Order: sequence, then structure tokens, then C-alpha cells
Amino acid sequence: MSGTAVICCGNPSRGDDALGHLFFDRLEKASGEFEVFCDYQLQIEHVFDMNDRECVIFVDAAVDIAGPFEMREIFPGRDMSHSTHVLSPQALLDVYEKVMKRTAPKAYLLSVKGESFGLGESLSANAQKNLDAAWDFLKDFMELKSDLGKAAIPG
Amino acid sequence: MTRIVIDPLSRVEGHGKVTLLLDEENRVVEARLHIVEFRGFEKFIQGRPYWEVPVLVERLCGICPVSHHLAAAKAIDGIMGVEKLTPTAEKLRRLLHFGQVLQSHALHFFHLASPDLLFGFDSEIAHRNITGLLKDYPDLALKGVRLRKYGQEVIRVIMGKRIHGTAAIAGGMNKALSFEERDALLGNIDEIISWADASVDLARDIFLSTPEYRNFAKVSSPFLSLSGKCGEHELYDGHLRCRSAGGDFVFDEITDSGYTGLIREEVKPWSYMKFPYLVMLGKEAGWYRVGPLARINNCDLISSPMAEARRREFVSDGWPVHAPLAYHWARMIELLHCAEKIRGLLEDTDITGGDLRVETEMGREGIGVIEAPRGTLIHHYRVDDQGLIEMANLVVSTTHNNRAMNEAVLKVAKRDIDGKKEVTEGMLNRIEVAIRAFDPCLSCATHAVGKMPLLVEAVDAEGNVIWSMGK
Repeated sequence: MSGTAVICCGNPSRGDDALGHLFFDRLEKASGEFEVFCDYQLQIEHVFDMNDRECVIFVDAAVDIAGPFEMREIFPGRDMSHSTHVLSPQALLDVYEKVMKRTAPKAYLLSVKGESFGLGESLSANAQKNLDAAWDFLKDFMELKSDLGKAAIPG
Repeated sequence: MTRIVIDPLSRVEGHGKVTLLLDEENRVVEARLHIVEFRGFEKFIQGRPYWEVPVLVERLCGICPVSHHLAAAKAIDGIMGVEKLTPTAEKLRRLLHFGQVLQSHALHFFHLASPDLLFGFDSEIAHRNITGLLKDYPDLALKGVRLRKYGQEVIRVIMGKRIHGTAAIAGGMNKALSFEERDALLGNIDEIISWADASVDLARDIFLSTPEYRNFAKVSSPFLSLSGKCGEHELYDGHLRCRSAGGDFVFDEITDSGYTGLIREEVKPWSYMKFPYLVMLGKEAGWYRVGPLARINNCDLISSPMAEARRREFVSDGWPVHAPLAYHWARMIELLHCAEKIRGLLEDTDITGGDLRVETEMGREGIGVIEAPRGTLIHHYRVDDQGLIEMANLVVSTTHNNRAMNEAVLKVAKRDIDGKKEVTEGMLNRIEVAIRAFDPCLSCATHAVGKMPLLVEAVDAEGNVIWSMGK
């Protein structure tokens, strides 16, 4: 295993929590030096998806960011997420180092702003705009060679 | 009167909140566990075609999507008038379900529960977690991660994807298991069984070695679960069985459709979660428990030899076992059972067969009952002439245990918080330990970054926050 792993998460049935899944759908149709994964939430077994990667990018919806999206480098760390059924990306990196007994790969968290998370809701208009903006950014960031024009990408 | 609020609970799925009502002398008068639940979902799927339901419901939950998928599939089997699947289809569904229960039980015990049990309820909070476990017990923690991974792999192989895969359809399954996939899963199954067996040792030794654990949050109640034709432990299909706190039958051999006459759900003004009770015992005395402890107490035997030997050991020192912390021991017996049954199914020649589906005429109503990792899960649907859902009722495992969790919290609070002038993190953790034993799933909560702050608050009767503690 090598290259970049992109791990998208969220609950697609809960409004803007689907942002990670919509990213996954787009990435699956793009080509590049990466492998993409999707799940409801991060958990301990995801350390195996990160094994021997040069880089890992986590993509998730967020409510606590100012702009439409935010990309930042993250590092292994302990927080209270290790005490729930869902691990934060930082806690997962920490678990990775303990399980694999090696330094965690370089990692980034791409947070896309969401605002409405009701069961059965579709994506909000603002989240759709944020998704498009974050997608354009990530394409440049990863130097993706998308085979699809933006208009053809489902969203 | 003062209220102490723990919001949300850590180490349970999603959001939850505990409110302890104290009087002026800091005596606990009532404990209330608040949980968000599925209420919206039953409305959400009305008007959708019945055949979409197994896929829709698996999007409900990131922890046990397979259980919802299979319970819904069983219900739409009923709508389609399917009474018996082909041998291959039924065995594939069972294999899928054993994979699901195995991964869920591994996650709960190794990741969420064992840090409390191995380090102690009052140990340093920063250490009492999976990373602490990986540091102090690296081999054990790694086995937990790999057991979870193996169960997830069973699910991925059968459903085609890790999530949002499709497997069960009305009347059967939609994809055969290839010989290569079977062989890949068989590759390390002996190791998985060996680790599962060692996990039972660990859970048993922890429970028996600490006298406090036998009485911690102890409540007595009836137990509800599915049971097989010969009274055997059953996770996928069977009849409903209920034993009293003393072990006598309250009822037995009730078919899926009989649940409507047995269980009613009470609504309380302070909680979104319903309170089910057994009609024949009434609202006050009719609360009961489901899940691993209920299943192990209820069954007459387990159909896998190693797990059956462990069951006999479990009930040898008094039965039924009521201690909530014995849930963990029972959970590990089921983990072993799942691993043994996975091997048996993978070695069965039917498992790679190609006869996957039976077809019949469409009816109007279907009920699917399954034993999810956390307990009995009921899906009930009615459709119109076009096959569109016009009624859905879901009774989920955590809801069954609602009253029991409140009773367990009250027990701990009365013992550890009653009369205390200061509440420590260790005291609050004991309440969470009691709740965690039931492994409640509050899965309809969203998981967006920043949506799950952990906060402990003390609030007086007028709603004033006296103090709060971030987690």
C-alpha cells in the first residue's frame, strides 16, 4: 500500500452530514494516486487503511468552522473521542501509532461546513456551495486528474 | 432541588444525557436517562417502495446497519409471503449476521468497556481508554482491533462494500459467495476463534475477580430474546421467549407477529425514548432486559461447542444472572459463538451455492424480528396496493432496555452520589459504566466534527448551571 488514502465520513441520511459521502462519490469517479474509503464514522479498524500511506486526508462535515471549508494538517492526539463509538481523526492517528508501532503518515482534515442535520433532509443549499468550493480546492491540492467535467459530477 | 446533568454520555453511540434529581440534602430522588431515538425514521420511509427498505434502514446506524438491514429484509420476506429461504440464502444471511455481531461485540468490549474494567472506575480519565489499553495491554488491544476488523471483513465480502452494500432482498440474497472469498475468510478463522476464546477468559476473570462487580448497579428483571426450536441460543430467527427474574417462563414460542400483543410502549414527558413493557405484567412491573445477558440467560443451550461449555460455566453459580456487568461476560460468550458459527458456515458447501432467491405473491404486511448485538430488534411494515410503505414501526434494542438502564443508574446514584457534597469524575463515570454495560446505541445522532462536545453540568431546579465540566 502506498500513496494517499482519503477517508470520507458521515451519515448520508442526515442532511449535511452527507458531505463526506458526496465527496466519496466524486472521488470514486476521479483518477489519481489515491485510494478512497467511506464510512459512517472513524473507528479503530481504519488504522489498517492508513497503513504505509504517504498521506491521509480525512473529509467530514463540520459546524465549527468559519468559512465554507477548512483544510488543516493534523497530528496524533488524545481527546475524549476515544471514549465514544466514533474516533476523531487525531485520536485515530494516535491509535495508529500504538497499533502499528510507527509514526503516523502525514495527515490533513478537510472540514466542509454544514448547517442542517435532520434525519431524511437533503443537502442544504449552502452545504452544496461549500461542497463545490471544497471539491475545487481538493482537486488542486491533490492534483487530481478528473475525467469528469464539474457539471457531470453528481452533487 | 438540584439536578446533575451528564451530557452527553461518553462511550455510547451518539448523544445521551443523564439527569440526577437531588433534593436539598443531596439525596438522589430520581435518575433519568435521555436518549435521542428513531422516532423520525418511521415517518421518513412512508411512501417508499417496500423493496428499498433494507437499504434505507441500514443508513440509520453506523454501528449496526446490518442488523437493521436483515430485520427489514425479514419483514419484506413476510410482505412477499416468503416462509422459507433457499439454504444458501439463509446461510449467507446468518453468516452476515454473525460477522455483524462479532465486530460489534469486539468493539464494545475491547474499546469501550475493558478500560473501565481493567484500570478501575476511578483511574485517571486520560488513561482509561483505548490508547491507555494499547499502551498497557498492547497484545490484548490489538486482538480487539483485529477481531473487529475480521467481522467487518465478513460484512464487506457478503455485502460487496463496507457500507451501503446490498445483500438481502425480498426472498433471498442478491450475490453469491465465491470460493475465493470463502477461502479468504477461512484463512485466519482458527486464530479468530482462539482470540475469542481468550476473550471469554478475560471477561469472566475480570467479573469474578472483583467482588464489587457482582452487585454493581444490580437490578432484577425479566429477560426477552429470540430462541430456537429446541430452546437454543438464536440470533437470526426463532420465536420470542421471556423468562421472569426467577427464570420461569413468562411466555415462550411466540411467533414474530405475536409481538404486538405482548409489548406496549409507554411515552414519558421528559424523554423522547419510549418505555416498552410486557402487557401481561403491566406498566410498573413489566419492564425487562434484552441483549447478550438476556439471550444467555434465556437459552437452554448454545449450538456451538466451545460457547456452550462457556454458557454452562456462566450459569453454574446461580441463574438467572442479573448483574449488569455480567453483560460483558455474556457478550464475549456470544463473540466466541459467532466465531465458531462463522467457521461452520464457511465450511458448509451450501454457502457458495447459487440458488439465492424464492419468489411469491406480494401481500400487505410483514414483521421481522432479529437479535441485534444489543438485543431484540423488531421491524414491522404495512404496504399499500402499489407496494409503498404506509406504516412502519421499529422497536429497537436500546429502547427495550430503557427502563432497565434508568433503574441501574438510580442504583449507582443512590450508592455513590447520595448525600455527597462534591461529585467527582469517578462518581459520574460509575453511572456511565452502568449504562455502558447495556451497550446502548444512540445512532441517529449525527457525527459531524464539532457536534459532539462532552459536557457535565449541575443545574438547579430553576435551570441555573451550578457547575459544568468539559470532557
